[in-house]
Amino acid sequence: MTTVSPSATTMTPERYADLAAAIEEQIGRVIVGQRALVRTVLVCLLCEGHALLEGVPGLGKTMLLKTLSEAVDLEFNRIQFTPDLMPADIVGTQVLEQRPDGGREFRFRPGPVFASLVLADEVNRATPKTQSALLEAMQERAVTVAGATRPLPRPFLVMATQNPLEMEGTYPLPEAQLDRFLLKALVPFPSAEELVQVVGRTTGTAVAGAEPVADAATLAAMIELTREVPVPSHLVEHAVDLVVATHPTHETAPERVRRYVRFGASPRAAQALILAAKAAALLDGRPTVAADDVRAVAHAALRHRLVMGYEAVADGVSADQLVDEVLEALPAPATGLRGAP
Amino acid sequence: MSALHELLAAVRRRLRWTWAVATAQWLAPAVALAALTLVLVGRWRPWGWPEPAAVVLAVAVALGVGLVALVVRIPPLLAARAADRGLGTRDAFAAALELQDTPGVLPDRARARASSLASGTRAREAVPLPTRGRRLLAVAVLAAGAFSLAWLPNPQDDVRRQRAAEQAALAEEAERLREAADALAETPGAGEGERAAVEQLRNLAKSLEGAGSLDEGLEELAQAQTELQAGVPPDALARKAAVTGLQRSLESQPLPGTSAASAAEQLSQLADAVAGLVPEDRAALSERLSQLSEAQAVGNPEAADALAEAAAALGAGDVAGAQAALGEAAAAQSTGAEDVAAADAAGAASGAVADAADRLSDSPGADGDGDGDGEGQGQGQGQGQGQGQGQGQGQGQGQGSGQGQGQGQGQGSGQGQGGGSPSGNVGGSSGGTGSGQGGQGRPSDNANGSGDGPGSDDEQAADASVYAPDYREGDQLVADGSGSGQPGETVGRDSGPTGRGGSRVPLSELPQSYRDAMVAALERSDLPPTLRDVIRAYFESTAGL
Repeated sequence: MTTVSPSATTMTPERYADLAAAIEEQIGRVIVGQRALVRTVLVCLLCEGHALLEGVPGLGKTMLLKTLSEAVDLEFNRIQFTPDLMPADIVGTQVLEQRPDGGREFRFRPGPVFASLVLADEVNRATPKTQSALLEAMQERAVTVAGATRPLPRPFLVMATQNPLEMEGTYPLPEAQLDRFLLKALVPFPSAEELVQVVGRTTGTAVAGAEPVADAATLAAMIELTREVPVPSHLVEHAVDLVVATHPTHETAPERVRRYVRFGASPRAAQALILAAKAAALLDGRPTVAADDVRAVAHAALRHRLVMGYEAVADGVSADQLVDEVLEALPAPATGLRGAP
Repeated sequence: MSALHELLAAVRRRLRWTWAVATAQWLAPAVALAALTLVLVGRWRPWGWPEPAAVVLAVAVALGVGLVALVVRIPPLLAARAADRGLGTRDAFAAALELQDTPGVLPDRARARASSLASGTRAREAVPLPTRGRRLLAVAVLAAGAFSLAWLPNPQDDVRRQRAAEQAALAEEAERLREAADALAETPGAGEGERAAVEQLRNLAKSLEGAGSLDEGLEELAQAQTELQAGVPPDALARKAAVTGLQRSLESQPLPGTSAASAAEQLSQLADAVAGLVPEDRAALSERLSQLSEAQAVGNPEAADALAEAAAALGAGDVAGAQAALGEAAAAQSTGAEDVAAADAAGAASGAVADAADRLSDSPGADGDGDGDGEGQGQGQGQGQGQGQGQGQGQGQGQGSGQGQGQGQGQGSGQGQGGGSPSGNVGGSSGGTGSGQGGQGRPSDNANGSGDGPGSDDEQAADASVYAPDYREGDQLVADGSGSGQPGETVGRDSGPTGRGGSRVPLSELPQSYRDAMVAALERSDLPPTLRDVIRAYFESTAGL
């Protein structure tokens, strides 16, 4: 049974939006620009999902999560994935300790995954076995070691990063494991103006920091409210239509999807679209989801769920381009009545 | 929520209107193009329906769109979604409508937000009137073209008026044929033959009304006339002459012991009364019956045989045989009278059809602007019969020729038909007997004529009438049989018509008038039976004219 904090009972769409804005403001004190990235990560946190970030090193991914942990007053751990990283290094292990009475016993020492915010940096550098340990924790929100299952704290957000440049000696995440991430964000290189600000902030004596504006209970209430957002039936159908159109064998799939996509998005993509749209609606202060909310999160929810064919790689076609085509082929649901808007 | 529901009700009404406007704009180019095409067809072909059809099409489409707009299904949720899109309310109305019965904080907020957005909002803001400029421009151009072409004088109008006149003429002739049929049906004692002729006339009237053109109507008439003439037996004239002759003979000189007017009834009464006759009367009756039998030999052989048998039986004193034979003669005369009536009906119907054909040929619709060249050829067949009977001395004068005292008789006929029609067909035929005249076709687009006649015939053009001396209406020539034998003195004992001549009569009247003349001639009891056969054979040969 879920315990609802006092904050949850008083959570309203307006307060939800205010809190989210406050969190984003606190992050903005540290992170220059990257508003879309911040919004994506925040949506994942409010949906109890996980985020996959792809970008070159040095763009502030670690700083983003660290600042977020400060803003929401949650524990933050960072795991640097390397080829020799073992599952126990993530989930923890049993260590033999001597009791004060001289006896010995195994005691569980939690791994870094036991934190509300976990940064899995360069997750594709670890072996699949280690990746699976993290992904299992992400999915189950619990860790089982030595036969004992230990729940992870809530909220629980894993933000994994991938470096798209250095693929040598890496273990790209398989599609089934990519599907576990609610959204995937591309971390763009900052503009020159933003870079000037970054340099200014990080090379002086003053250290920028974020103040906590929320806590775990508040976030739990926000997460619960996110789930309660109603979605008009035609928008659920629209989300499903978008997902189905990514399947190359489906009749509504655009021509380039048929050519470049080997496998379309999974049902988790539709769930991700709706869930993220709910959070987006609340972040906008609205109590209901709009078609724009669904379409706005389409790239983040679909891009890592499309299994591209070799023709796409050869032709330089990205998943985002194909998602664009799907959105163009399936515009926001109209009434179907001639003369109606 | 009341504000939302009010807005959605207004939006639903507005959506019907916008649906009609949008659909009309969608259909309008096709309708305008179709209307323009119809107007062009109306200028190309002389049909009367293209222009009205263009108007009907436009009106029908407009009415159809309007009617469908009234019944097109617009659920409230659809109206809510339309309002959301029109007002940019990000699905607030649709969500609120779906959540109208759902409890909870967020549904309450959704409903409140929707009501707030709907308050003060008008449907026309949510659903603007759709306008598609290019389509409207195309429609305007096409409609302007259609109206312009419809307004300009149409070269097909003259043809249409002519066709209308043709149709009116056809309808008029159809009505006349019906009147003729009614008149024929009201003939007292009409039999099967009359009823068949009446039915054929009525069917023909219906066909005429449905005829698409004057030519078609004329073809119908020609075919009907052929059929009606085919219904007249070849020996109809002879039969009529015999039957009518017997009737008139017995009317003027009834059989002994009878009082009925009908010949058949007299014969029947005679069969009952013959037993009471004295031998001298029986001998005289036998002689009378023998004469009557001879007169019936060709036209009514059944009656002739029965009368001859009765005469023989009376001569032999066989009263019972005479009675039986007289009964047979009465039956044969009755049957003959029915046949004559049927043939008369067919002839009358044929005459009515011929008259209709003549009038249609002369109707305004028939006066087409034919520029073609045509030439009719007519030939007449002439045959003159002269018979003289004389008593006393001297030479007879009068029509015909003969020697001594007697009479001359000649008949001639000529036929010529010509007709014009928009298609330029014309036919001509001619036939003549005696001094008849051959017809000559009228120049037309595609003229043809046929006829035949001997070289003595005088051919001249005849449109719808021919030169036909009418002997029937001539003064009676009376020869009293007494004279001094001086040249120029009329002697003899006979009577006959003299010809006034010089008259032109409608061609269609000639065959029947000649047949009537033949019947009248054959009815004359003073003609020898052998001469009657000759006359009858001649007129039978002209039956197909």
